[in-house]
Amino acid sequence: MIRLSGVSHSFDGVHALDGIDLEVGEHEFVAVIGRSGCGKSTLLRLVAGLLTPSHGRILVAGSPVTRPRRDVSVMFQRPALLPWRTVLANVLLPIEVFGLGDHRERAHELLELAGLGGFEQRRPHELSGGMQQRVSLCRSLIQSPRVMLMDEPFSALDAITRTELSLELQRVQLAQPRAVMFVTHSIDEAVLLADRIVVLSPRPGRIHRVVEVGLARPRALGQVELDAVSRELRGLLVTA
Amino acid sequence: MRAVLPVLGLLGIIGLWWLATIVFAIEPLLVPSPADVVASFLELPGYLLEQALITLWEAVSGFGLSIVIGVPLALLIVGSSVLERMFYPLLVALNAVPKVAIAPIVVVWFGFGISSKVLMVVLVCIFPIVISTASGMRSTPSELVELFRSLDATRTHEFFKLRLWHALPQIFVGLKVSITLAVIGAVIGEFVGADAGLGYVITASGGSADTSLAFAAMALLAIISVTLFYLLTWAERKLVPWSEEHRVL
Repeated sequence: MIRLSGVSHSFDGVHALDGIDLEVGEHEFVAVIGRSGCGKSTLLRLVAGLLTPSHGRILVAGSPVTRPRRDVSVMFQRPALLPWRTVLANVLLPIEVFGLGDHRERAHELLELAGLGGFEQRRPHELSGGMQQRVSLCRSLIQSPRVMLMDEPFSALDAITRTELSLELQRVQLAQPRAVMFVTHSIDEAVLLADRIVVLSPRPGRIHRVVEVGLARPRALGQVELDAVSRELRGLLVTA
Repeated sequence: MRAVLPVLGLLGIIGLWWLATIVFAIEPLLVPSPADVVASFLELPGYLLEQALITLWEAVSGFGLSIVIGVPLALLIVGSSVLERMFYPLLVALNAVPKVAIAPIVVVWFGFGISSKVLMVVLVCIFPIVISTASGMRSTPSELVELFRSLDATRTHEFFKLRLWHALPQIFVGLKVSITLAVIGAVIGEFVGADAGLGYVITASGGSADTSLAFAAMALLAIISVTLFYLLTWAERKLVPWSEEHRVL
């Protein structure tokens, strides 16, 4: 679904990414992990079409990425909700921008599933950080994306909420698998969620290693089998 | 309950003023007592209210015109750096010129009627509106702008579904500054050349040394300003309920 070949990117004289080759399958969840400043957010922005690579090619669903597209949704570190809109209107924003028909029923469904039933008419500031990020997740699901790009979506949340949302995302992915690129610096999140984990080395960002997580789903946090993978990753991040 | 303290403050000041005119036996010609002012108003209530309505209309229509011109102007300035570089310095220069200096020319051009006053109001009001709108739209958080980019939103969407909404609380700050200036602008216009309005009443009463009448007209001006200001504050609460800027200024 996503194919990067020989992708390099520099801006303002900074060589951020170098020679990235990566493929993400149609139903595959790929986590990208690395220290801060290793260019993992840049990688995501390139696939999103928010940046244009200096070298190399990026294909999504077989066609080159030249600009942001409707079958690709992006979820950011912060919820990025519009404070003047209700929860429902926030979820419906992509539909409105795309000029599509009535999706209110679908929005209600998504919010219900995310445990936000009854909050449709509230404004974002009335919600906790975790609930806001759930709204943000609903917003990126409403456009029925084939590809979901997530840039450390849970990193601004407290540990408990983080875990909850990770499990929530696992549920979403199990119910309807998509191609997901999930940038994180949390080993636990990566191991819990991903089919494969890409470890980036910093400056310039290169693929250091790709780790397969061949464990059945649903996985649970603290599951013993995850520990071995976590340990391997920790070692790789040190040498990266 | 919230109105109690301001009213008490006002009554206190009026009381002190009254006391001062009695204790120091000040000539009513210099400083009339509150009773003189009220008496002066009651002599010509119909006439004074009529003049007040004229000034009010000048201020409100000039203010409305400033919004109608100022907000699109701000959109253009934020939308195009070429336009910004062409016209922004001009706007600053226009604002730097003392409005009292422009007033006589405006009256020469547009006559003694209402249009010269409305133009004066626009001249004083438009700058705060343009600045607050433009800076509000510019301060849109980058994460929201990036969200719109990721949806491949058009510039029109970005402006009308994001930037303008984000600017609303700041626009209201500009509007509240402008509305008080609006009354001042109208009065400046009336001072320079008019045959009606509260500013005209004040200059005319100066000629006949009727200080009480001038004070009555000033009191009406103050009432107009305060009323308009609080109307805007009320509108802000209704229209911008998500904003934290619910203080008076």
